[in-house]
Amino acid sequence: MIIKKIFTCLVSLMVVIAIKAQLTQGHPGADTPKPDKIGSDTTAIDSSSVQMDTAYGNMNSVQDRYPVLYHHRKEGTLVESIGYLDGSRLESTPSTFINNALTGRLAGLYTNQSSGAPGSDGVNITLRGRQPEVLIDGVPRALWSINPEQIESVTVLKDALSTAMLGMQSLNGAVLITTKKGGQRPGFHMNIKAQTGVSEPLSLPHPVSAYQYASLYNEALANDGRPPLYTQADLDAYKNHTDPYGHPDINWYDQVLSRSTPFSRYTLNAEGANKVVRYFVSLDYLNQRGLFKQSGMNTYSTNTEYQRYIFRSNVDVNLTNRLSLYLNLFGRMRSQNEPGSGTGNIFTSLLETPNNAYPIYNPNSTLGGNINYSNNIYGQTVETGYTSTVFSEGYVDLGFKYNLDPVLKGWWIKGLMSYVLTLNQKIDRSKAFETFQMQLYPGGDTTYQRYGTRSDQQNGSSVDTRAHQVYTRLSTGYSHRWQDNTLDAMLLFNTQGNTTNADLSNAYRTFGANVRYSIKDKYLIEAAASYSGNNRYQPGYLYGFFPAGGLGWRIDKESFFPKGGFVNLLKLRASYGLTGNAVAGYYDYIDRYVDGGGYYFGQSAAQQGGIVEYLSPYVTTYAKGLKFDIGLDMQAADNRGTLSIDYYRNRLTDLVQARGKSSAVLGYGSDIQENLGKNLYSGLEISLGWQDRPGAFGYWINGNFSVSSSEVLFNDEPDYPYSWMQHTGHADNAIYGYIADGFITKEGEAPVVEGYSSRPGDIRYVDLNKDGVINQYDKKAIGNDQPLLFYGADMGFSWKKFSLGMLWQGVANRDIVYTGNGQWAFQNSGTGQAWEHNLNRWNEENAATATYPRLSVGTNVNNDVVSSLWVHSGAYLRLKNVELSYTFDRLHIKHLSLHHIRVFVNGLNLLTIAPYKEADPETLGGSYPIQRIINGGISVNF
Amino acid sequence: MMTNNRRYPQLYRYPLGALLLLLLVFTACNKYEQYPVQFTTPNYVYDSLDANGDNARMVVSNLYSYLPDGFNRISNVVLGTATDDAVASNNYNDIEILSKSRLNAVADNPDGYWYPAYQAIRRANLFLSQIDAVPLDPGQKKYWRAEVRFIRAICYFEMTKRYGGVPLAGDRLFAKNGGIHIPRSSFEDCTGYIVDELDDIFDSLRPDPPSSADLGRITQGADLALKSRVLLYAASPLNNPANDLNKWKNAASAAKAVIDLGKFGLVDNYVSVFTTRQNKEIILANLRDRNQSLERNNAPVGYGEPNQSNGRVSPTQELADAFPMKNGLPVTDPASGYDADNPYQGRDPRFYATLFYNGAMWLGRPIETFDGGRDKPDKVQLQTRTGYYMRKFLADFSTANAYSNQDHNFPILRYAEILLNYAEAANESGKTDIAYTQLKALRKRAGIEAGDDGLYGLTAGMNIEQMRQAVHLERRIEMAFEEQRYWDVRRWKIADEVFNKTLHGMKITKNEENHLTYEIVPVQPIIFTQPKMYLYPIPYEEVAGNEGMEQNPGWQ
Repeated sequence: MIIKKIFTCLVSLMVVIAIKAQLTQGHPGADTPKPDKIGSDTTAIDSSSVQMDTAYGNMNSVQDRYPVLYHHRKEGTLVESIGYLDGSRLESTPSTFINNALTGRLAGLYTNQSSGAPGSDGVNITLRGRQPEVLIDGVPRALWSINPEQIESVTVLKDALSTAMLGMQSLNGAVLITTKKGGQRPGFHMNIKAQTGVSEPLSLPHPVSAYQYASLYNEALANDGRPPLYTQADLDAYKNHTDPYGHPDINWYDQVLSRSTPFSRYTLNAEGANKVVRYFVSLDYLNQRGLFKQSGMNTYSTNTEYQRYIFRSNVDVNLTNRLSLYLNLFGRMRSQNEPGSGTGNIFTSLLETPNNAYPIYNPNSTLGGNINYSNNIYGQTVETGYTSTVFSEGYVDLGFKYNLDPVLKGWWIKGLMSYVLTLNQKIDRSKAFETFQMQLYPGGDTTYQRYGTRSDQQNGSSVDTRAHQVYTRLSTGYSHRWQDNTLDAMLLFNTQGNTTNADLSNAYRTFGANVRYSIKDKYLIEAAASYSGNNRYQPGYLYGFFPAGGLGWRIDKESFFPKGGFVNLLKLRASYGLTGNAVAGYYDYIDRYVDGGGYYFGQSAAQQGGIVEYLSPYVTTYAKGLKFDIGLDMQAADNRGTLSIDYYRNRLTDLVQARGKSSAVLGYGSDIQENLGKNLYSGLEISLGWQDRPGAFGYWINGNFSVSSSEVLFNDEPDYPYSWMQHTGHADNAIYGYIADGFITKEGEAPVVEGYSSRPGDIRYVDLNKDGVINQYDKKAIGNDQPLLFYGADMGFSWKKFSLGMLWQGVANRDIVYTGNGQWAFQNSGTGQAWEHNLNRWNEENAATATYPRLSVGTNVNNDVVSSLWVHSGAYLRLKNVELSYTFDRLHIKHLSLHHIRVFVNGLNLLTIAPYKEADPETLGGSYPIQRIINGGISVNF
Repeated sequence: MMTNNRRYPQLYRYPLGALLLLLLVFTACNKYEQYPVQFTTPNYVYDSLDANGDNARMVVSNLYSYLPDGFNRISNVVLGTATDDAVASNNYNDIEILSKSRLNAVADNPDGYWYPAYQAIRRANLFLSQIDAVPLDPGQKKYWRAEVRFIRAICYFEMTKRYGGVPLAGDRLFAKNGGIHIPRSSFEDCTGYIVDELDDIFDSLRPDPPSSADLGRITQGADLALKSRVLLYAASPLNNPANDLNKWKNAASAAKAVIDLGKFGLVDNYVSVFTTRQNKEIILANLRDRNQSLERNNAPVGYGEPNQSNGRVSPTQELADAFPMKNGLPVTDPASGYDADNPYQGRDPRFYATLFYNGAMWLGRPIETFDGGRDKPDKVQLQTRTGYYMRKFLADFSTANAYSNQDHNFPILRYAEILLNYAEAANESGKTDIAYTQLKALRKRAGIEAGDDGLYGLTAGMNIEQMRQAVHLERRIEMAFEEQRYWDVRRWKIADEVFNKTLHGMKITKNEENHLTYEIVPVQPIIFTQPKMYLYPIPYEEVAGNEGMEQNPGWQ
């Protein structure tokens, strides 16, 4: 809490300084020079489009310059395939992770969120089918949980040409995050923003009541030919709730989860500039509380809770006319609190515990439990103390740019050193609790049988991760324009070393070059290449060479192209190149022995450790990707309309996979990884935008649509007797299983799973090879074998001071396979929960309309296996984000001059339309649910 | 780098020099570790400077961990739960894949042995090919080599009883590559290989008994005992359809060789065979840590913490009825004195050592497996389904208040089995008298009364067929839950009848006057699909990935 105090003091101090500066400065920006942006090429920038607030935010996707890898590119000269998002667009998404704000906004970028737990609710990002590298200010570091106000822009690098200089990290594409610099606008500016909201779980599983559970259980036992477990008296007690201790009926989701939880965030941004110094400062505090209910008995929080403090300072200094330095400082502290038993374990228990398992409390106020369920969920939530993990990260970027014009006009040198430090400290204050089973013994005695053992609260601290990264880059370049020709060339050298705990540094070393030449700004030629190595490969296999090239043609600059027409920019571009990705493991090439099972010897059974061969030395080289991209860019109606189309075809080879044409007889086990796989990723991406502001009314719509398909070109698999068994030729994430074919109608009917004797209501499968039984020969691709379609549309309007924006986002052709405890009744050897969707099970009465097979207890080898019955459409359309705001202009309160005040309300995941109803199509049922957040706030600009 | 601003601008006069200087600053290399030197690379394991063989010793320890184990091995229950001896206490357990013949070639076989066996074989071969580099004491090296070869042999045996003939790797170390073509060897070849190996290493193994520090190590006795079992399996109907009597004779003499070694005997107290670390009956055991997990897994469920137990195995009425009375007569014999209203009175002492039944003492109170009793409360799903729990192997806590850590050893080979092997093989080769001698010894040790005829309840003058039944019965009760019956019934080729029936339990009802009534009730069926369940399917990936591999009958 001391940190919170220090933080509050810092913020107050900043406010005071800012107000003072405001008061003394008078009219800001009168004589501030136009800044020369560090890292820019020689083109001057038009800074008017960069604003600090969404109300006046730049909804136009047309930029003057785009940040690309290690430099900028002027509008209309791009040969690379990139996607661009202005940082202000991220601000309307109330989330702890900024990657959540990327969902649906960029073509080719697909996201999936698997958990909504505070502090762990970031999405998984895939770019053209692969997980991209993340670079912040040109340095690889995946810090997604940062405040959007410090972000100038996000650029997505999609093709080989744009990532070629990343060398060994170029294969999967990249996301570049560029932070803000001071002096974008003249004078001193400050923005203070406070927002708070509530979040609620988007969808929780629907368990059946205790009465339904017991009835279904008896039905399941009868189906299995076993005697019932519950008597009529039991069923009546469950139904009428007459015996809350002996026959409880508890919806655990209601008991341990709150319906809504608070979310709040406070941000301060300040920037300013004079002739010598330009600075940008951002402070941010975020607090998101979790869903778990609390007990008044605890003096501490046992909730899942996420608190984050962020500090950023970017300072640029002009030392001389030609030499400028910059220093970026970033600090982040995140504290993640959770119940001692662990958030994930509670959600697992919720998924596994029926409503009639045990009462929360016994009559003697002890926690209920029994031999099958000794972990009372309420006890897990409030009686296990807490653990708190503090993630501390800081980094420093120190760079310079030196202009060598006096020697050779257009020559420059740039350098950068960066250091990142990470420290994760876990504080363990957990404890264990005990539960009791009340037993009414014949004769009237009540006894309590204990399960579990109470323990004192732990007092442990451990540092899980100590990591640092050292990154250096030195580059030199030359820009020259003569007559109608433009030449830009760059050479660079960089090193990167990531050290985690006691491991040796994972080091990369890359030499890169980039040359761009254009004639009359009409014919664009660009080439980039790198020679790059990773130290974890075998000597001789350390380095790779990654060349790429591209061509562009500005058709609109041709004389035959009508000037002043509707289309004001038309460009064709294509690129092709080789990329790579290092996945070397930890010196996996080295034959070695590691700890393995040991044995006990002697009368005293002393343990002797064992060692085993570490079977890894078969991954010898990095994965390679030959990537081709062809695209068309168009701007029309005086830049009001934009269109971008890309087609890509990426052929990946040397992917790491286990050999299928092999045998355990060789003695290696079955999972040795080798460079064997070949995949093809291809797709089409379309971005379309239109925006206009005729008078007081402005509107915008930016849509994007992507088709992403993958194909396994080579999978080292046996020559199966039937073609449908092969994975080669299918999508890389295809679902394989049996094809369900209705339900069995009479006992012993075929075809069912080999060895299984069927009963009415069991799933019947399609016997593909017609041998009468269902086995390995009857599995084929049953889902996700079609190209994935995803799309987003960001639209809105502003009228005078009023603005409304919304983001719709959706996915189609996506399949989900939902199996396990959340889908099937009575799993875990019969102790598992049952769900409302199990009610529509097959029985004599509703044989025609059943959607779930006949009930059985435990894992049914015929029904509870992956089949098309459990594959559902994972398509959905979400109203991902909405923001409504109103701006008050130019307020004067005494001496304080406020530039403007904006009040806003926004929301996340407001509406979901999906054909699949049993669970959220993204997270499914078993984990922390994703959240709907409704948030409001005020933003004050000084 | 750039501390002096005033001088720095002049550098532009020497731009190339400045650039080179900067490059030097950026790329200046220190000496650093090229790869983690702490890695235990093969040259450290088989190190010509390591006179103690410290690393090689750990390779041997790891190979020992491949010795068969049988305590709650499959889904927390014993393999006996897949026979007519017991059912799993929970409503569904993966063991039913075996007990109800639901196996197929793709799904995980809960008793699969293919992958670990070949992994152990490669590790053994690697050890054997490299160990000569280590300058060990020759005696030590000789022991290790022989022990590792024994482990390799027992891995093959464990595979042959599951899969029939399997590919023999010999001493080969296979390279990792594609296009595998390694055919299966015949069952006979595998048996021959195992026996040759066992014969070859006999002289290099430790004599019995090992020193207390070497307890658990493979000895000459274990070598002969394994050979006895291997030859018994080879002579059995499943693998000897022509009933070649020579095979039975070989098996008999292999068993006799263990007896003739003179190092082993029967321990007077049957229970202590399983609860003391070192005794003259255990020939080879899988040594376990001192713990109480065995008790907690298997004792009745009616004890809360600190004695919470899970009663995972429910022995059947069929097994309970198999135990004779203390006079050695079967419960079906009217002369036995068996009282169906007091069924646990006056039984073979092994009954009390093997089963928890209603009224048995445990942790200071009688066990209650009557309906509604503390150990069968009816509202809890994990509880006995037959009225019995498994007691065998457990230390004696009948009067204690709480569990304490105990020595536990799973008997891989023990002398009683050798006597049974001898009895069976001798009887099959026509020497019924030898069988009588062995069974009497076992029954005497068990505590059965000799009776007036000195036959311990055995019928006088049995023919081969009758004696076969007697040996089968004795093997069932003496070796209960020791992973014998599951394989015995298969090798006798009688699984079709023995493992296809409804299994029963004892429903005990207590009336108001505390009077107990006993009723035998059906519990669940055991299903054996013949002939395919006589051998497991080879994992499908193995058949698909190895061009030379042939699937077992019925699993194609």
